[in-house]
Amino acid sequence: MKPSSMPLRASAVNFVRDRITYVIFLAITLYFVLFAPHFASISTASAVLRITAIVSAMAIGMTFVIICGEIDLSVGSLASFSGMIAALMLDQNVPTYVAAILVLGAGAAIGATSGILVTKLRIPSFLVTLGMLSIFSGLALTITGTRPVSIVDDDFSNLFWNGSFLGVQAPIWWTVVLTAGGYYLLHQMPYGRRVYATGGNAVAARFSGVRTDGVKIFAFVLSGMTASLAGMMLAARSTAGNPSLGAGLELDVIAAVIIGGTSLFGGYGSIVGSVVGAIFIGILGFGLLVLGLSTSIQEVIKGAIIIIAVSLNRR
Amino acid sequence: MADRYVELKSVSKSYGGVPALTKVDFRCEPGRVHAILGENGAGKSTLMKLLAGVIQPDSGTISIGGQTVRFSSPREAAEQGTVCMFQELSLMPHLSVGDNIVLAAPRTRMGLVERGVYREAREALDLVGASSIPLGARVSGLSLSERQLVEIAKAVFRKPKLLILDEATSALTSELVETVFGVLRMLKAQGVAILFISHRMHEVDAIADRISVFRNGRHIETFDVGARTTDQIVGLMIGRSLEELFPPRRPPVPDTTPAVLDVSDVSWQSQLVNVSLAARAGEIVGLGGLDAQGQQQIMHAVFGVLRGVTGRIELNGKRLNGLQPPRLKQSDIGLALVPEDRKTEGLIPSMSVALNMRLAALGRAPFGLLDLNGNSDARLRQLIERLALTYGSLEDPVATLSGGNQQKVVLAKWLVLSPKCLLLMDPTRGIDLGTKAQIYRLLTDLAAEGMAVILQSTDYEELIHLCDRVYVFYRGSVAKELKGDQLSADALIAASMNVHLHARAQMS
Repeated sequence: MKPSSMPLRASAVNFVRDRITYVIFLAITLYFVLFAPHFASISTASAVLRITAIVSAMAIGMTFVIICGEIDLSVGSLASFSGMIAALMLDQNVPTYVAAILVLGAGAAIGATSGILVTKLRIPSFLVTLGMLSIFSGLALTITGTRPVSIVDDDFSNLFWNGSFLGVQAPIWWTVVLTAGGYYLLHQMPYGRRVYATGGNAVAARFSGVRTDGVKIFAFVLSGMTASLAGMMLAARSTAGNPSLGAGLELDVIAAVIIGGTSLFGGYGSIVGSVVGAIFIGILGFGLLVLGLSTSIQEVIKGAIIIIAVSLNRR
Repeated sequence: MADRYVELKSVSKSYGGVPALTKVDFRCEPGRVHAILGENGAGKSTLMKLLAGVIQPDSGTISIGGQTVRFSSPREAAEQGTVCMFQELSLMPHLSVGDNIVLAAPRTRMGLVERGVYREAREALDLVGASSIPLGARVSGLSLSERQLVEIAKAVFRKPKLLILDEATSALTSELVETVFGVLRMLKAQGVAILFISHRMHEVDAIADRISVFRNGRHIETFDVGARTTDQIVGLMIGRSLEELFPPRRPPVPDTTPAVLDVSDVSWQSQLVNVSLAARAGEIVGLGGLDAQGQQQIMHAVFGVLRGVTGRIELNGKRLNGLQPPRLKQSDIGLALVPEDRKTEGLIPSMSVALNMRLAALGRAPFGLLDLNGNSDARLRQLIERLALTYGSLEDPVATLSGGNQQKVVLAKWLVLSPKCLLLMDPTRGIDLGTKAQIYRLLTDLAAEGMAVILQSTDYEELIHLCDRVYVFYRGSVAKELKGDQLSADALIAASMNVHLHARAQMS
């Protein structure tokens, strides 16, 4: 054995190990390209990106919460609730942009409430947001007595789903804008450093003069706002506020973040990873659909692949 | 009896190409306390881990009583009677003291833990002088030194044949150390072989029969206690003399200099009672005493991490009561704290060396862009040089550094802010002599530059040789202030136990 070849091979192995989810991701995409009919096309790519925009948006907010060492289970029902109040406001002829901003504000306020309950009352975030999940899925159903509210406002539909700009569709723009914003906030700004510090060791962070409670509360605010935004995208897509549109989405969102390499125990993670995780889940769902598998068996395969990806990605 | 010894022949071990031990020959005998000395990185911990079965040698043999052994797990080593107490405490915080002790050897009858086992656990606790700790107490509610006693009781409970203590006395006050030494002497008389690792030279002198010095992964020399002077031993370890450990005394700061930090009548719950103390610019002020007499709490009270503190805390005339660390570290106040426990309070282990050093100096504005090549980084580079930080890359996780270098990172994190008053809580615990000397030199230099330094320490040498004045705490208040010629080990110990006021009560 040549002595010089060892470190090179070892570092190549490490390189692959560190990016094992990307390797699996590429392998599965390649499989679909080869075996799923008409998979390798621009229209497939843009369809997948549009489908995943909703999970991507929520995953970006969730990444901050999970790196802080917390969890937000309420994002799915918060998205349904946001879609409903957006539809109701538009129904009352509230101007499109005012409605959108009010919905985002509501998401921020709900996130702040979760954050305050977690930090000030020291209730585990799993329980606080589990409660929030129940409250907002119930409220979304109650407002109209489970009836969907249709949206006829074209501006709203164009802004969040149907429109396009420079030939790129709105949901893809939202993914790009949120990814860039989240990237700067997490990786380039002091707030992001404080997020990593808080999740890495909250005691040491506090002893270094970091307001860990404030950092966590703001992470929940971000998660609440991205969930509200995702809710409006959902409503625009189906041109109606439907009280059960977001149900169960939190699981896809958390899976996307964890597949993306963020540690469920906090301290590690990245924005780009979470978005890649979301796209991975999207490609998986779409590819299985194109292969003609039933949605029920899709869920089984999706779950298994997620477990495999995460178990190979352990630190 | 005399034939049951542990012997290593030409043992080598390396981690990823970096040698930790090189061709080590070593033996220890029953009924002897054998001290292992060496700086951090000398290979002491690797030696202990080999004996405890945590790791296996790359080459060479380990034999016990003439039989070559190869442990594949700590459990196998334990079955052979090797009991190890590592530097890091290994107790389960949410279990009771009794369960923690019994966990080591859970003898059961029909699937249930035997009753008598708890009686033995009680006896083990009493033996190590921890009779005040109830078996049912939760470990998480105990102080650091109480936990260390439980750890020792756990080792005794397992009836070891070879007992390894790795810095096991580092969190204990001198009084408790004496109790533990009593236990060691008793085990020694029963024929237990004891390996003792400590950075405290006087402890080694007090308990060990033989000393082996390690340096850079090699066994340098073994000799009987008394065969070498302390200076010679230190010379063997690091190649420098003890006088060089502490910098020369500085001229005293005149009493007329106004105080930088002024604490008066501070109380907190029942743990601080009307504490008053002051530190002037250029002074190193020590806080001493037995464990948990309030000297840690007063540091936390000043640094604003305790709620409900009464009294007055002022820094350069600014009132600090009610302010919290994010405010206290601003340059107009300039307060910094190096906390007690590097691993849990000082560092973010998941973050890199560079990010840890930048953490305290992060911009005030939460969303401003990071100033990556700004003034503070230039200052950090100077500090890295000044502190002689040894590191592979600044992007490596901070956990890859040695203990001494980790402490330097915590210091750099705060010094980059140029604080006016620096609070340090036991900053040299478990750190090698070379780094200690560097930290002492640094603190002296900082004081000479006009900083007020407050040093809480469990190391009497440090309080005597480094501090201008020492406040000795007893039951939450300052029992005595010692300065100048009054500073001696005897005076410190007497004041720590408050013998002047409670002579009868303490002695009986």
